[in-house]
Amino acid sequence: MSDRIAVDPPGPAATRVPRYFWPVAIFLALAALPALITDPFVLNMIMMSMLSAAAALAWNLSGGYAGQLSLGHAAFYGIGAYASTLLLLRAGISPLFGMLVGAGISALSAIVLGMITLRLKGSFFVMSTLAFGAVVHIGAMNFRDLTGGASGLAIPLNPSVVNLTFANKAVYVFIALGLVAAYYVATRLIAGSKLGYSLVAFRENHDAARALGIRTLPIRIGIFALSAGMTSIVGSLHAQYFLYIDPDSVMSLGLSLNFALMAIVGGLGTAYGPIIGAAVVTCVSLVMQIYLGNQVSGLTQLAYSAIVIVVLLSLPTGLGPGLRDALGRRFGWRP
Amino acid sequence: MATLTTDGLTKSFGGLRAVQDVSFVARPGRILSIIGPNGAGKTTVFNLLTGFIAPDTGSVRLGDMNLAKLSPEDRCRAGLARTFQVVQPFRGLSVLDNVVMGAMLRTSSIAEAREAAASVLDELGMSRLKDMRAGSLPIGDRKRLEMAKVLATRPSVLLLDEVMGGLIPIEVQRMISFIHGLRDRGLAVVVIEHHMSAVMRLSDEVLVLQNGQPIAHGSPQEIGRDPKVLSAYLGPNFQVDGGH
Amino acid sequence: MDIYVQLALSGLFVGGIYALISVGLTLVFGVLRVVNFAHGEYLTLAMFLTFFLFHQLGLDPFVASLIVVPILFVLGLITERLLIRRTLEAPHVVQVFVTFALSLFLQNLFLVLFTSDFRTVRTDYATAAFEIGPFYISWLRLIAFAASIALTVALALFLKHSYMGAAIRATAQDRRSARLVGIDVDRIYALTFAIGCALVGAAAVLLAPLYPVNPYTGADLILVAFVAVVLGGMGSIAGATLAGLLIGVIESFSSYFLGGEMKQFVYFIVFMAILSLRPVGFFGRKGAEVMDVT
Repeated sequence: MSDRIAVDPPGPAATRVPRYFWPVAIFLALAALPALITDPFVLNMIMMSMLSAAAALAWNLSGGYAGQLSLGHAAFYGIGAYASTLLLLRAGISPLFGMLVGAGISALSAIVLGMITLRLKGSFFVMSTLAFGAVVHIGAMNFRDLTGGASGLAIPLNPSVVNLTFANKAVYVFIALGLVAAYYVATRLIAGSKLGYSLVAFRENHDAARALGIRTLPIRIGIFALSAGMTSIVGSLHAQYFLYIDPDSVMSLGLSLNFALMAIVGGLGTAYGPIIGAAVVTCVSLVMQIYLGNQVSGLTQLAYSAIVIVVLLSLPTGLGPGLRDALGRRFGWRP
Repeated sequence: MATLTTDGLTKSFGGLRAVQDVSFVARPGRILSIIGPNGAGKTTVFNLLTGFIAPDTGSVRLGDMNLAKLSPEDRCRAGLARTFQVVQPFRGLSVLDNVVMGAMLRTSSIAEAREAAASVLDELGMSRLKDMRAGSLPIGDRKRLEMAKVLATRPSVLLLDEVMGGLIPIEVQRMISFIHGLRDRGLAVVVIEHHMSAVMRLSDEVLVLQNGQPIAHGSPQEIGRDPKVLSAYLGPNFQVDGGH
Repeated sequence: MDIYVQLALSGLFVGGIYALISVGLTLVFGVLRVVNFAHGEYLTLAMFLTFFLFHQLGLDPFVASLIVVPILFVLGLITERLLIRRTLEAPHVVQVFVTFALSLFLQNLFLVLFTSDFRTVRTDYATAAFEIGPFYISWLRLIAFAASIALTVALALFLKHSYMGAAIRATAQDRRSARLVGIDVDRIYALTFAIGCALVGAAAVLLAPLYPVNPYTGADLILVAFVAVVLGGMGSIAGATLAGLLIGVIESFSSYFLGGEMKQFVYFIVFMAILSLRPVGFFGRKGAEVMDVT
């Protein structure tokens, strides 16, 4: 776990630009995209990577900083999607409120799950979250009266802000971008706080953390709940964008795995890592889908999993920190 | 500043009596050394004091507070801090961030914790190392980092588990003066040490353990003359003034 | 009353196979300290092998086991050498996600090669059964159960009485000391991983006439094995066996009374309940899976 640090170390004073220069510049550039790009396929691709980036950022708070490698986060994503959708369909409640309800339910489930499983060491925790994700998925499949089962739920297209439904898909991209920016800022704030430091201390060396008086269990449950709630909100937005959800699209194991892998590929326990990871993974899978996709099913995933293995074994800190180190060595440049 | 009192600490692992009936008082402004051959139970005593292991019988009190029910982290918050014999740095983090982890205990602001950490590093003469990765430090610096992390929690009782192992003589001398400085500030210090001449120069009193049992307790001079200690631990040919 | 006994029996029989799958997983964890998230895909692979040997060469599954099990053993050796060994000293996240990505890789490889169609090994004795009093017992299930238990016992005896077994146990206890007394720890890792794969190969041969196979069969079954391994106490072979049998019985009862889809619900709840009451599982050593936290 070498180069993952809690906060960005200060660079040499002479070459230093204001602290938030690069993130702000990049987000502003991204914000121009939906206005410039009208091609629906590309716009959809951008939206997908925004949703993924937001979910990966949420996962990273617990998985990256605290090292709590959950493989059940799709359950929270799904809870968010179903909560806002069901409240809208059954009770006419605005998804703006429904997503908060979903986030609350997700956070509460995370607290209960965390109280039981966060006492377990690494692999046991992973397996427990795996089981949790599977059970929520099975539940959504089988409680048909509530969830519509495998046939899913469709949201009628009644564009309005209260319905969080828009005819112009570009609007969703702005909202998702805002969410990514908010999650990024939240990550930076947490990483630079006592909470973030305490989580990193736990991740790096549990006994040493305890010997320094750091109480880890409450904050680990807390960050797990926060991460679950944040994931849930992305799930609600997913439902509003596609106007259709079913258990496979919003709570599959593959989705959980994707959140985790994006954070890992980009750089675990860094604020920018999940964003880089989401962008890279989305672009690579799209390119692969274009060139390999329609010939044989499974080929894209096959290539993807092979790439993941290679990245993990050769660049275990992820592409972000890896590139940053390389650039730092070459040009003395620290973004 | 508080007094650490232990009474009748006993712990068995399976059939092995690791620690048996150990009692002592560590007072503010005093340095108590615990010595004994390998396997005498010294580190187990520290684990019992800090709550990493629960004793079978016996009590640990800090001032008026009974620590029995407290976790290691809560004991540290109460002012009882330790170092580990096998140093436990946060390897992936910078030296400064390692010490910040300790300093956070006394402030909720990271900026303040960084200042506090920097001043502890300065006291230990480690300022120039602050941006290095802890995992890449040589052993001597790691021992000092272990000490820095713990001092940053501002303890009233400090338990030091072989902080001089692996240090060269000049570093040992510096460490001794440093620990004397801590004593003079009013800390109660308990030291486990193998380094005999260091123990003799460092301590106000010495407790000798053998097979988990206390066999002698007194000033360094008394211990140095105690025939039981000489034969059991120091060996028949040991000379108190003979260095190591 | 009879129905309960019948349910318990059929649960036990399935549980025997679960036990065999779980034992391989727990053995690998006990020795290498790695959870092989791709364990289920080795099961799928072996079931496909059994299917093709049956279908193309007309080999009975029990005969095919003589080919399938050694192939799985060798594949285990290769996997350990190429992947697992590289992760042993790596951060935890690498360990988890390398085997997970391997699982994904194999699943999709099967998908590319064999499509997602279900394939069944149809033996003419598949439905053969006999009755004892009111109970109806399938020969095939009984044999699968007996063979599973026999293999588990054989493994336990091997670990207990052979030199290699002692070396494996020593490595599981303390790899540093094992190295010091001259045990070739790397070889033990390879051997253990290969034995884990061979066991799951044997389970696959026994399952093939009972379950249809497609690329996701192993992934569906492996969740049961994870639950069994944690319940039994990570690394405990007796525990995994017992938990495997128990889950078989729980499953059989819950699918009868609550319907097949609810069975996973029930054993998840049992799983959570046991974790909260006794996090080390039935036979786990304290400290193996629980952190001392407050």
